[in-house]
Amino acid sequence: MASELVFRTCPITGKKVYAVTQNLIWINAVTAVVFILVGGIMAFLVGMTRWPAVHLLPADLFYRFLTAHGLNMLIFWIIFFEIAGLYFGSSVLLNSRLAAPKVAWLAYILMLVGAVLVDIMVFTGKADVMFSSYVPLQADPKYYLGIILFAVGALIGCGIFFGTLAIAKAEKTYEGSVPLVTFGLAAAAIIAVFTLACGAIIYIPTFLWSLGLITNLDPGVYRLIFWGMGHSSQQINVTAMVSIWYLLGALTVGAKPVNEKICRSAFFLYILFINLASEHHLLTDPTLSPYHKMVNTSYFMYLAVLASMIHALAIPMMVEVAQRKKGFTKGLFEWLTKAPWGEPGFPAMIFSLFIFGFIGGITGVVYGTEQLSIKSHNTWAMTGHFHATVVGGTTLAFMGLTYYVIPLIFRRELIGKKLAVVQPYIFGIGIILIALGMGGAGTLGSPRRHWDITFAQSVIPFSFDPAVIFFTTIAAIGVLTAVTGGAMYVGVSVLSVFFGRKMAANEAKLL
Amino acid sequence: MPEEKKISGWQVLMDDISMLFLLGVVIPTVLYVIWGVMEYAFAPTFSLPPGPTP
Amino acid sequence: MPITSPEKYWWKPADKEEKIWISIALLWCLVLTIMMPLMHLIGTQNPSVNPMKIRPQDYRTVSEAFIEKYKVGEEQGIPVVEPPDGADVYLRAQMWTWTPILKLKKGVNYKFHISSVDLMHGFSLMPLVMNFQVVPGHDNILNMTPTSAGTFHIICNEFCGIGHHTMVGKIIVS
Ligand code: HEM
Ligand SMILES: [Cu+2]
Ligand SMILES: [Cu+2]
Repeated sequence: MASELVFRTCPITGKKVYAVTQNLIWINAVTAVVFILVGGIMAFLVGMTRWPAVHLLPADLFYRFLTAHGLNMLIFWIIFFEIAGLYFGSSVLLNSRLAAPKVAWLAYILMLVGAVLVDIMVFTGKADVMFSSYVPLQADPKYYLGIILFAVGALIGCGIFFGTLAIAKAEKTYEGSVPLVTFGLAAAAIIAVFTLACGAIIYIPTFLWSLGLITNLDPGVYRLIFWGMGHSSQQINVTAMVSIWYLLGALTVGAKPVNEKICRSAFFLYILFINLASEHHLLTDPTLSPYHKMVNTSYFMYLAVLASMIHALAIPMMVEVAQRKKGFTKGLFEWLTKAPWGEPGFPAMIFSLFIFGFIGGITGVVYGTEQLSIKSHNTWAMTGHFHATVVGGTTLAFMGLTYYVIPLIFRRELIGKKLAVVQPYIFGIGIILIALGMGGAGTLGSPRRHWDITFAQSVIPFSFDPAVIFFTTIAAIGVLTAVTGGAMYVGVSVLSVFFGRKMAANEAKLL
Repeated sequence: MPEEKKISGWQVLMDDISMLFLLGVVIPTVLYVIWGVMEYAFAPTFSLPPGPTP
Repeated sequence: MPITSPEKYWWKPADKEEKIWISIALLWCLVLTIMMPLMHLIGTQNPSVNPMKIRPQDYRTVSEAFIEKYKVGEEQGIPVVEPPDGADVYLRAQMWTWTPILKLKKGVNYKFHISSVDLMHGFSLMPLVMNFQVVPGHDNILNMTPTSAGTFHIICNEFCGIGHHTMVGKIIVS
């Protein structure tokens, strides 16, 4: 059909941008931002309740909104954005038409209907089960149905991505190998297929169980397969985020990978081993043997950690090389000090790398050790760990990228560039405070998913070391800071997308 | 024209997305899902001794 | 550029710096890998190594029998139990109590059986911060030896319904 073949040529990158692809990227990304807005409001309310000085919400709303926060952020915001990223990485980067755009719209509608159904169930109090919905805690069947619809939609989205890769190859829109960013996104999509398959294996029986058609669903097996989905979806995030680091390196300083072999081999290790990390959730579980725990926890010898260590070298290295080529060669660090810190993409990338690597990565490897998991399992330190990875790392990288997607793909000039430039700093600092505060309180035993850490209503009296309150206060300051940064992101991106000046067809200005 | 150099086998493997797909799905399915479900399935179940409880 | 196709032959040897870094990282990964099995051999704090499934109703029966047999008192309606040295100890998680309150002796080894008769719960021993997942249908079997005297608390750190934040238990070690 001709309308599927309409494209324009990007004046900055020279890539062909097909109109259907552009619309699909637009709708998925804008939907993602709506969900981060919902999730962000929940984050504020939940965060202010955990702080004993404010203790904002009553207990039932706290648990309900915490469920909503987890789902809207971790699942809806991230996955809608990733689907937009997959369409970009395949169709735009490979100069190819998108495979089956109508089906891609169907995927979008399934995801949207699923997400809205889930949110209706959660906000009407029919699914106070946390996003992990461990059986035998039961939600309304429509909740599970919503998750299934969403997952099917996302799976179709991955299919469109692979289909587009095949079309590009057949129609020879590129020569040789796919670009590194596309390769990284392909790794993410492969990881996503395993993830969504686990989702299907566990949510379909759970849905039937909630309808009363199945009676015995083993809670241990549920946890095993649920985390096959729940943790692996974090590995999609990691892989997509690393791809975006490479992309931001190119967009901000014109960096190119120093050695393609090394970068691609690292993604290859992700594909092979990173999904085994789901085991991290099960280390203190009964019944599962230490052999299963050790083989999987070590991601078969920590080879996926090795891959992250490789990216952690390759990305700063390519930035340094690019900067030195531009003449910033004084001393050891002029390449870094003279980097474009005043452009949103660069600090977003560096903060993301730093928070993910130094806070999220290190805590992850420590807590993911069988014996040390005993000290951290289900404490607030865990929440601190994954806010460093999935918020400070992935979300911040996605935010940084948004500021380039708006002019490049949506052809709108940013409104509030100054806000966009300080936003990554504010959000990044907020998340660092959250991660450290939660980490400190959690190390002293403060539990996650807990309405009242003063235990005012418990029959047997108990109170924490006062340092827990101190760390909780640090986290609360972080919540306020990060929520401000998040609001700035939503404000700038929504205003720009809808009201930003439309750019002329040949206008080659990025920011 | 100089003689065509051979492309490394590793490079060929990494360009082969369907092969990567297969590896990426099979490895965790076997090591994590199947092995794990089997452990749960074959774990012993406690049974109460017959008669009144001690 | 990472957004354009690479040159035709990109499988090329790494530089010296890259090789050094990757070797160090690999070495570190190997050390990490060895630590977990090693701690099973020489360490004293490991998660459960005894697989055991147990029906929630059976677990309730066994833990009730345990309480009946060794009960020495009651505190706010919760039984206080003092098992003999080396006994099997049943600690039952149930919305929203840890039953019973245990009186144990320092330096004595007990075989704990921790399970739930309703939802998922989280065993979190304070102030030591030792955490284990409590899964209905499964017996979390742990050999524990108190090494210091005093009062310890167990809080619940897995969401178990609206009373989750009130779920506190107690172990007294003398
Ligand atoms: C403005 C930024 C954010 C703030 C201030 C924030 C704050 C919080 C707080 C206070 C909790 C509650 C911890 C507890 O009581 O157990 C929480 C939980 C959580 N957050 Fe965030 N968060 C933010 C962004 C995000 C994002 C972007 C994601 C995912 C992409 C995310 C994922 C989660 C998840 C998965 C949980 C755990 C929910 C559960 O235990 O079921 N958060 N967050
Ligand atoms: Cu509980
Ligand atoms: Cu609980």
